[in-house]
Amino acid sequence: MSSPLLEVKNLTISYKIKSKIVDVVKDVNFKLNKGDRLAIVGESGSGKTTLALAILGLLPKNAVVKSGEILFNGINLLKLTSNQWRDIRWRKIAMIFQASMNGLDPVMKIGDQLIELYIYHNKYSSKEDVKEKIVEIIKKVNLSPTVLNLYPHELSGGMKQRIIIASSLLLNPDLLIADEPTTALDVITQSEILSLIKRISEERNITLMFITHDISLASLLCKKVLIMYGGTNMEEGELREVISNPLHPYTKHLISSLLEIENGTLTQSKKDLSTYISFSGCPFNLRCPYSDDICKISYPKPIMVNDNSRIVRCFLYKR
Amino acid sequence: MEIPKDNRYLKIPIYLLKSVKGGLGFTVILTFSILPFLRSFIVKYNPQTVGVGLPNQPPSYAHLLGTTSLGQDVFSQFISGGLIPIIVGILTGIFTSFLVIIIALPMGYYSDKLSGKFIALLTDIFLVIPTLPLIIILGVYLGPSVFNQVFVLTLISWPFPTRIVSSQVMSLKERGFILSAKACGASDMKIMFEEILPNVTTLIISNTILVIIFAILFQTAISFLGLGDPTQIDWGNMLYYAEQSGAIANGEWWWVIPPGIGIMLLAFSFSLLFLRIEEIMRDY
Amino acid sequence: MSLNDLLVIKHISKIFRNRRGSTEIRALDDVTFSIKEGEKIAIIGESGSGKTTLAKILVGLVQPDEGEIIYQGRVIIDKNKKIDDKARKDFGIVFQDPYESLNPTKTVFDSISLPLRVRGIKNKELLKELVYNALMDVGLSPPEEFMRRYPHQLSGGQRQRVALARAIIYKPKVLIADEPTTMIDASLKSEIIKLLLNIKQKFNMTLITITHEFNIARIVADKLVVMYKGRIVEEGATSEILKSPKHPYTQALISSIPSLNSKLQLSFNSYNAITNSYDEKEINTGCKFYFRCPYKLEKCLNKDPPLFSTEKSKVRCFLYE
Repeated sequence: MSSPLLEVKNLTISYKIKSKIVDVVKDVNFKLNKGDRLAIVGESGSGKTTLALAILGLLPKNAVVKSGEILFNGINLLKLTSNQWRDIRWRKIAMIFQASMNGLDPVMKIGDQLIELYIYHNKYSSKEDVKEKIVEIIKKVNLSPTVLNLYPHELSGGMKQRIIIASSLLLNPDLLIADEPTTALDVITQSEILSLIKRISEERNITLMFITHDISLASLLCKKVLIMYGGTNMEEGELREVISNPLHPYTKHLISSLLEIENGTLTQSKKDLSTYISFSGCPFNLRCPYSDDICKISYPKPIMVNDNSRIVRCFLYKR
Repeated sequence: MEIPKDNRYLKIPIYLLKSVKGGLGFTVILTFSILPFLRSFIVKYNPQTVGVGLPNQPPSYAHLLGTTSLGQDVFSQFISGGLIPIIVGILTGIFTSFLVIIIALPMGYYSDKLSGKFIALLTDIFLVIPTLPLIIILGVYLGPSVFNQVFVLTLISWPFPTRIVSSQVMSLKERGFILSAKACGASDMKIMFEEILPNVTTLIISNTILVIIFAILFQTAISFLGLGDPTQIDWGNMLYYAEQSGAIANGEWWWVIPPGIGIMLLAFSFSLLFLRIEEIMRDY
Repeated sequence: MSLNDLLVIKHISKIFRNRRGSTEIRALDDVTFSIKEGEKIAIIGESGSGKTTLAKILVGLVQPDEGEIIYQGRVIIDKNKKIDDKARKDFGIVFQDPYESLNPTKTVFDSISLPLRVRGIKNKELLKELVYNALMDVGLSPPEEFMRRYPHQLSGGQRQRVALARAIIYKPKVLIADEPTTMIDASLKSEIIKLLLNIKQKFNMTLITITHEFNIARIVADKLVVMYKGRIVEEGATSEILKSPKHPYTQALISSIPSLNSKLQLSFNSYNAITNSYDEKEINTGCKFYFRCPYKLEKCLNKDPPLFSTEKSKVRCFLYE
């Protein structure tokens, strides 16, 4: 088995917020092989966006990487200089963010922006080549080449997001990171965009990392899932399996509340459970129905279970 | 999460004074406010008494900052001269902030209605009136007195912060909690003064300090032009008389530099307070 | 529409113009439907459907350009009439963004007691008691502790509960929840929904939920009103619409719902999802859904379909003429 395309090892990142230091990502581990489509599912406060920013070298100034490595094809991304990043960003690793649509330059035509983007990363290409590539990619995202002559404000949200997807694929990256790419879009466009991303990543064998808070969306697109809570990876495995047989108490809680809504079988609720992420012991221990003394004090380590097909970070499980 | 026992906004003065900037600024201002009252314990000469020494004398043991052309003790004048700028500055700040509150709130809240637009127009008119000519004309017309100075300075100070605060009000009025208050049936007045005002308080405070700084500088300018109160001593006055008797041409630096430094120190101290308040707003 | 309808929305239209008056957006176009007392109804639509504008009109935040709102047989809102206080106290609303719905400079107590203080209740003891009860009703316990907190000391879910407490403290007859779960984390959505239903039950309220999530609508509503670009395109009992959606837009919506249950997913996907929507131009005559519709007929481009009544529901589509 060849080495993984992306490997995150024991990553811990903290933020300095108003004279307090908070661990936002703690001891995160996972591997991404070439051709994988991995969903990283987490709610607010799970650390998933910080993780994405770290992989792209876009952490804000008040972020400190306390420990760990992010290896992309063996290179530690955390140690790259900005010049080295220029070679990697967009060419090897591309991204689609939530607010990407708003990042389009409002005073430039779409076509010109794409040309500028391409040439920035590929100085020596001829204009004809570039135009050809751009038209090709625009068609790939189901848009008519006429949009190249339009300005961003003339396009709908769905169309803008397709442009963003096109721009991310322009240089044929190996890895595509999409962080909530459809949040601002209506449900119908959302499902179209997701099928589009799935189709293109299959066709071009692009490794996909899809970050979302909605695990049902993830199931449209990805085969594997990593569940994050309180800054760390709690469970990992095949998506269908994790949904039908969740192992971690948080995953169980998540799946059961979503199924409650889907099946319309609401059970009697308890009062507002503390949604606080615990800073000592397991982050989930304050909400966990199975928590024990050890959960309050020690930080669980990830363990492989079920013939190594699943990874869980919980004291309930032994190797 | 910590739950405070008291209103967290009451903590602001503590944060303000406990810092280097805030503490320093406040100390200097306090010093120049109190010193005039302690003058008799520091210097035996009354600042206005003529002939306590030979005229135009440079600093000596008897007169630490020398004498004026009328033989008055400069050091005594320097100690007493800060009170009026401070009083005028602070009073201007207070009156201006009242005006800002009662004008900016409706101006922002009714910005899409005729009434709001009318207030905005008035504000803009006052904004473009040239300040120095207005000061001079009113100064001459109303006569010299501290209250007139406060009046004139308030008149030129209110438009600028009013615009700033009203644009903040304009953006606040669209926010969810204001819509919810409206949906609860709260009247416009209640919303402006109870829901919106607390959210612009820090903006008003920091703008008021800026107003105070400018008021101090302008007050000195008014006095310097001879439009101040001749019965009182303030640094602006000192500079007026110094200029009138050609002190600068004669190189009588002891008469000119102390009031200049005094004004600078005062303005600087308020600036420190301003910076500290900005810091507090940002970090807490 | 019958005599025992609690609330009737009649031909409501609202147009938003930009400053110069050059651009016009028809946020709502001739919207008409009625609600019975105690009913649970969901208004489904996406951004641009006009659903939030409708909610704002119901609580008097926006004035309609045409049409009227009739409550308990009386016209309480029309283009000239602003909602009167008597009627207003019967309507409570919770907005979607929990991070925006509370005044950051006010304690939880201040925020929740606002509807009471606005109506002249000043007695501190009484206010405290009522706020205490409201906090218990929304599951924020111990109430004494929550009362003293500021919004920044609460999580998103807790803020949403506080906003709900404020909406119900005057025991409104009609509770409007605008996207109550949209900005709430997935694992907490069911808690908020349960809370809403419990409160509706306990205080015998009429519940209007506005959402774009069909999953949520299915549980909180007996009747659905589907809106698209300012108009009602389908209306009927929830079970009926889910079993057999008629309007192409409704079908597309249902087929786009992602689901955990793979069997459920397959049945949804059997509807004809919308094909390429890259030509989303604005259309002035004809059906607003024309360009995205897989079944479009020629008449759809020229004529605007009215709301047709079928046996169990209403549909705005020429396919059901």
